[in-house]
Amino acid sequence: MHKKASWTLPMLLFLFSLSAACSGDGPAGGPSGANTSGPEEASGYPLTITDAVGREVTFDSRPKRIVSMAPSVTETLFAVGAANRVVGVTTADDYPPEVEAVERVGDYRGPNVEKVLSLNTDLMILSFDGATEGYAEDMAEKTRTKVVVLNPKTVDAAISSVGLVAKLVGEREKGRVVEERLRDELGRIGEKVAGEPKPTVFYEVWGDPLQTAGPGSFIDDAIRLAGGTNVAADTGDAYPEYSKETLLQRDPDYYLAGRSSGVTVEEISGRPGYPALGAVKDGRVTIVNDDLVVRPGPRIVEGVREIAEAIHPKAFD
Amino acid sequence: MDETGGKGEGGGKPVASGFSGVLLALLAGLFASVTLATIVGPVWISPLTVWKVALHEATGFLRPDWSAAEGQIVWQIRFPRVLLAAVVGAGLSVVGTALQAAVRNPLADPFVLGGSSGASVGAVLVIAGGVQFFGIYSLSVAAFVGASVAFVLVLALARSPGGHTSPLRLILAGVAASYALSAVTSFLVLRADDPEEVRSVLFWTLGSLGGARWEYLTLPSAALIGGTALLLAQSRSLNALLAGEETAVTLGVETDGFRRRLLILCGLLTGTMVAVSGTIGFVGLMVPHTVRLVVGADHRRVLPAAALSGAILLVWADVVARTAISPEEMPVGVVTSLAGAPFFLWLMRRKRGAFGGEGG
Amino acid sequence: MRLDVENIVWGADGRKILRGVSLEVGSGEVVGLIGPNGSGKTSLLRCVYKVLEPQAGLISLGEEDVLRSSVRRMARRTAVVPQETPGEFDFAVREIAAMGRSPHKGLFERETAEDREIVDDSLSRVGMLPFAERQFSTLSGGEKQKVLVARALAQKARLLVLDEPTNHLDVGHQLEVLGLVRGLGVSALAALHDLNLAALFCDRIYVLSGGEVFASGTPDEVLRPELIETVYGVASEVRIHPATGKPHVAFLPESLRPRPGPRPDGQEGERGARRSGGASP
Repeated sequence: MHKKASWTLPMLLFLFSLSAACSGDGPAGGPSGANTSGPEEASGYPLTITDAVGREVTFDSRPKRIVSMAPSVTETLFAVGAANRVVGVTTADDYPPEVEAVERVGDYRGPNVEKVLSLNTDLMILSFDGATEGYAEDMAEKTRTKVVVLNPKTVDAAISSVGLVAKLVGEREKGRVVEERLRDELGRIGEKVAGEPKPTVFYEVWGDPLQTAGPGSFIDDAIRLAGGTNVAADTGDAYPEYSKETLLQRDPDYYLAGRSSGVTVEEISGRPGYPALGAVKDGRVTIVNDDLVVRPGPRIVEGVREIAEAIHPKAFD
Repeated sequence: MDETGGKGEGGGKPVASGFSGVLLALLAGLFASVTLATIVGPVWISPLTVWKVALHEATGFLRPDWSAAEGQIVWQIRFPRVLLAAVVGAGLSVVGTALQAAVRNPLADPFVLGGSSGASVGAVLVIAGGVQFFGIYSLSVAAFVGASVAFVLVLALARSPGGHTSPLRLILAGVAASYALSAVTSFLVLRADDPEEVRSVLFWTLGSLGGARWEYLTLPSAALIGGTALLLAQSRSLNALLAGEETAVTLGVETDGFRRRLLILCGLLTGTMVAVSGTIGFVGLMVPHTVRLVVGADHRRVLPAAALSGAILLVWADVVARTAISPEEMPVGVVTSLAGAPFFLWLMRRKRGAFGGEGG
Repeated sequence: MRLDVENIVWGADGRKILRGVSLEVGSGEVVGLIGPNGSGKTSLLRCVYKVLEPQAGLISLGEEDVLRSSVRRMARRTAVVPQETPGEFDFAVREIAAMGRSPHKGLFERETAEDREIVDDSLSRVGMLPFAERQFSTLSGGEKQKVLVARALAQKARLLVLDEPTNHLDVGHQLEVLGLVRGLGVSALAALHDLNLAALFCDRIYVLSGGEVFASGTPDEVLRPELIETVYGVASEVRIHPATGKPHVAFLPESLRPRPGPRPDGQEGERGARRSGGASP
């Protein structure tokens, strides 16, 4: 046991910070968790924004060398036409394909300061749960870069933060277009499922031990927006280990599983007890692209759509 | 002098007749535990239904008047899980008992020779590294292989140039290998792109019986029964080894060879248990000690008593794990340590003569 | 049973500890092994009970080649009272004594009534039967030693090997334990620190020094001041004690040694005074 402790402790601390950050409300108001204020000139600069952890950051000119510390932010930057200014991303970044060419400067836990320094950057965008105010200040000082923290907790906030990122990098107009398109699309999905009964949905994050997505996760919000009811909505955690018995008892109408864990519909259907599930009997088990629903970027609505199509097949014929 | 001999509770009771009483009580306790544990769960199913389902599934009698979900919950989820808890609890306790004798160290547990860290490396490779060779059994196979490799490694490292394998060398080699393998695990975990994978690894390393299936019972049960029988047959040698290295030789135990065979057996058993349950701590360390406090150190008594006690302990620990924060589940290793450690400390304080308290 | 040790050589890490030691223990004979720390007593005993493997030499017990026999086979013939005592794990006294039966038992063989009788008998011979259910760790040093002797007895061996059996015992227990061994009537080889105890209880004594047998013979042949001086570097006086009829060694530490001047009791001229004259504080 003591052997294990050497690495489980730091990991536990990390997970604690993760759940703490999930449950806590950001100090700043607004759906995106960040506000902007500044003269409405053509250029948009100087620009002052208040980020998700309540820090005021002022930009005198358009950022030219940008580090993105989350795949969602990277996708947003690419979507609003700032791709050529992205000089550093994380090891988890894989979309769009062109991002392969960009230098990796860290992972979801944070950037490597030396690498960032060597890239001579002028904007770093953080979007992960460990990014507190203190962390951001510290990082800004060490990397001599303006640091902005995003932390959207809902699909709606994620869409708003697309607009915010666009404004930050001086692509306000493109950002507005993308944001509008996303809201329209989300609205269309909402209309399609509006009249439908709300089926119950179970989302599997990992099979053994069984893990699901509870309140505070994007998946939970996405299921709601897609016109479904998350059967794990009463758990106290974003990604809890879940009781198989309870799953069988609640017998969800639809069973969704994230693609990245490598499961197949056959494997799920063959698990002990699962043959009793209505979703298994009636072929309503679907593997979804979980990258779409866990990343609060411009593809989040695609994720909502994927879930909506899975649980409202008639509405999307 | 003679009055002190009669001071009672501290020492004297483990006589043969008393022991059959203990064994009978434990057997009854295990039967009662399994019975009760199958009617407890996050989903309420009446005890009558539970036993009707069991009777129906086992014998084909009775026409189902329960829902399909209830049938599946009882027969496919609860029964295999409760039985697996019993088998794993017994297995870890038996291995812990044997290893404490093999390395003559009270701190030894089934994972002292790198088994848990080896199994963890295997598990992380599957969870975070995406290594999938055996379909749904990938995790189990990887954990078993990891534990076994770690074990062979430790055994090889612990051998002195003269071919001797001393307990101290074994423990030191085990600790060194554990650190090295934990570092590999940490590295792999840190390389994981996805926080969800990290969380899955954590859940796995804290132990879970949630993956139980009937198929998972066959091999561990066979290993448990075979292993315990072999160890029981060797209990005189185990006693001698526990009494001392040289003592064992003078009592006719060829210590080097005996220890090596013992360790290989323990390694296989540990790997089998870890493969179906992750690394559940505490059980294999504390159950043997607790049992010794009650029945004495003779392995003919300790082994069966430890097997039964470990089974009971893990069955109940798992009941807590699956009901305490329902519908969420707790890692069972957290339960065993949280509940077991205070109990053990209480027992240790009560039996003041034990563990060198009044020695000499 | 007769033990023959011939030319045993053993060493570790390039250091020779035993340089060709030979000795014999006749049937029913109690033989003492004395010598300073590091002289090789314990190593020699370990070779005899097969914990160490000599690099050269021959050990035979009766007709049996000890070095070629299995550990288990030898354990039925040789019982050992070792220095080490059971450690962190606590056995009951009866369980410790019952271990003596294990070399005679097969894998699945159960303890028989005869085994229990032997164990009880062994315990009662050392006077420990009333303690049979006590935990070993709660016993005093002397009681522990007696239990280990009982275990050796239960082994029903023909040769008893004892390594410093009287260490840490008070004088009463020392005499009791060695008296027990003496009274058993089996061959015994015992490493002893206390020369007077050796004189009292051994038929013959071997003196080891630097890994070789320095002298051997009956106690009064061996225990002489010259030898003690050479081997231990200690001055002494030896007399045959009128009550025991055995040699008795009195050591003469520097501080108590008579000064060169005249002494009223006229001890001057005795051996012990030869090297005296050291300034006492």
